[in-house]
Amino acid sequence: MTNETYDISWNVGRFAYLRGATTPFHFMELKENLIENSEDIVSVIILRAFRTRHETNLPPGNYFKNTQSMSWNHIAARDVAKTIKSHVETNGTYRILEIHPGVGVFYEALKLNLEHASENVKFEHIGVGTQHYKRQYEYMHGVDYHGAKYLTEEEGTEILNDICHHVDLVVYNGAEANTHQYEQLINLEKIVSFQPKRLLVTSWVANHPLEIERTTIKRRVVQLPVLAEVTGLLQTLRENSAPLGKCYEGTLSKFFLPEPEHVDGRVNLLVAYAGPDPQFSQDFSVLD
Amino acid sequence: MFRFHKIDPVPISNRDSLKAKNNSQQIVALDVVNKYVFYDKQGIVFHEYALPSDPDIYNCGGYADKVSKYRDPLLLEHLQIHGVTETALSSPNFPILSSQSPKLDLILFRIIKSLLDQKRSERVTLFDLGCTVAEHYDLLDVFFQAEGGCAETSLSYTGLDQSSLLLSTARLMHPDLSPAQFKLIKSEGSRFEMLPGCYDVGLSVGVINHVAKPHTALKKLLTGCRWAVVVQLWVTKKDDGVWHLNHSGIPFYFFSKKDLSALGKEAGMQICLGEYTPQEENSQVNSFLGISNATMKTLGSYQVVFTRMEEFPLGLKLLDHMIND
Repeated sequence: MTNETYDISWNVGRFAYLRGATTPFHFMELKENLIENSEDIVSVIILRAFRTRHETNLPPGNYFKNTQSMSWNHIAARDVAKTIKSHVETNGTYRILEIHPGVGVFYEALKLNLEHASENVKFEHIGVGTQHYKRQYEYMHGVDYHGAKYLTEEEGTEILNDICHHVDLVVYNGAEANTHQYEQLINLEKIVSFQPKRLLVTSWVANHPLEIERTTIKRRVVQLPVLAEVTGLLQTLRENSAPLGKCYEGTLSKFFLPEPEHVDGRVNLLVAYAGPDPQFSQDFSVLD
Repeated sequence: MFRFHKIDPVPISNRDSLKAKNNSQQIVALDVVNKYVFYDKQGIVFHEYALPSDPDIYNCGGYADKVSKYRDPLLLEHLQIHGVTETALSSPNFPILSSQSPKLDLILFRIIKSLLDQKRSERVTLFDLGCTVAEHYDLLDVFFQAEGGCAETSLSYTGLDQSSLLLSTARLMHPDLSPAQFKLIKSEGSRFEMLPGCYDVGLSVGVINHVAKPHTALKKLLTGCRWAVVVQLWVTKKDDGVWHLNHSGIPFYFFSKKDLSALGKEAGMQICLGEYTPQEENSQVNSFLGISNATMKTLGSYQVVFTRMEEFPLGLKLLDHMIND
């Protein structure tokens, strides 16, 4: 493998083509910070409209059909909801800690999936992530009936261990984290070291062990784990029993730039769960 | 390993290649695609990543982001300390306040306060044409809070927009306001009904220019609002108004001084002007299709206040000061 540097020019925005033409006629740049969160904000709004049975003319298909980049939050929320449903039913308040929640799409999707499990269930969510999402998370969730609090990674570091032991579910939203423009401090190893009782992990995993370094469309270089690495980590939580989960092949591969020297190049989405609940989603199987 | 350089894939040309003669003439069929594009050294597309094409998604995200910043407790504290003034809006600590929209909200806030002080209204009725997620309501609320009040007790707000997504966001993000205080209407921006004088004040920021019938929309607003209408309008320095196409291929009308003068006269309102922003200095300089650099220099936007009040809003000038060629 060589270490060649490839010069790439780029931009992001609205390209207008005269119908049938292949060369753009006009270009208007879209600000990346706008793109970064717009889909997620819309996702929360649509899910909130479903949840609250808000009367609306919204055709959700219009907003979800092209928005594959946020689908892991929906998939993970659906999968884990089936797994923890019985636990939620017996709990008055269900406490969730989510690392790297972004604007909180996973939390909103989980509320939608679980609210019907019990009329009296109340969620309390603590999001821990970078400063960039704090205001938007607080705005999106601050007006909802369920509890929500956002701590920046710096604010959360000291108390993270304690929180991990006091919540009902810890979520490490690694797939979300990798799509952000800015780097995070808290990684999966750190969360596993706190030995949470129930841990849900989302992660992009490299299909080939020699192809773990990837560059996202946001020009951020990330190191993706391979499946065995994540399952190995999660095994340490459950007395060496394998975690449950599912690997979705090829999802969002285009979010990562093609590496000229990679042969395989595929990236998969992993949703994995380690916890004591005997009843688990039929979508999950033992990851070994 | 990649080394990235940002480029403009389609620089603005030196000649006008597209011009709409009116708002109904379909002069060109366009495919509009939102995406990331990466090119190799030879300029060949190396990778593309498609983004949703619906502009409502970006409008919703952008305006919701704005409101999240307006609702920052530190911003309220800043205004409580420094007052609701132009100086406070230009603080480098809160860049969200330095754009045109908050400046218009400040003009509107002063007009509303003046109406409340003069007891012309117990609760000022405000009509917001093209309200998106009702971000103006939120900033007005912060302004009121900074002075010890709140929008809920000072305003009766009506917002109009044609986007279900934006209106749903506005409603869901203001769950505690009653429909009487916070009313939302779904309609195209020139096809709404409004009885003469049924609102105290009106507001429209960057919307009237691209509704189906800009003159009709502005006339309705001027007739329907008793005291004042605050707008951000795109204008031409030319003698006559002109149509261009915006980035989505939608006809966009630039008002002329003559247009504004006639509209103000017909409505019996005085016209005052605030800041002028040349299109070249706009944050989205490439907003219009197929126009040259020379044409660009003739375009810009004004803060405009149409008023029937005796006193002028602070710092504004009469229409006579409008820049012409």
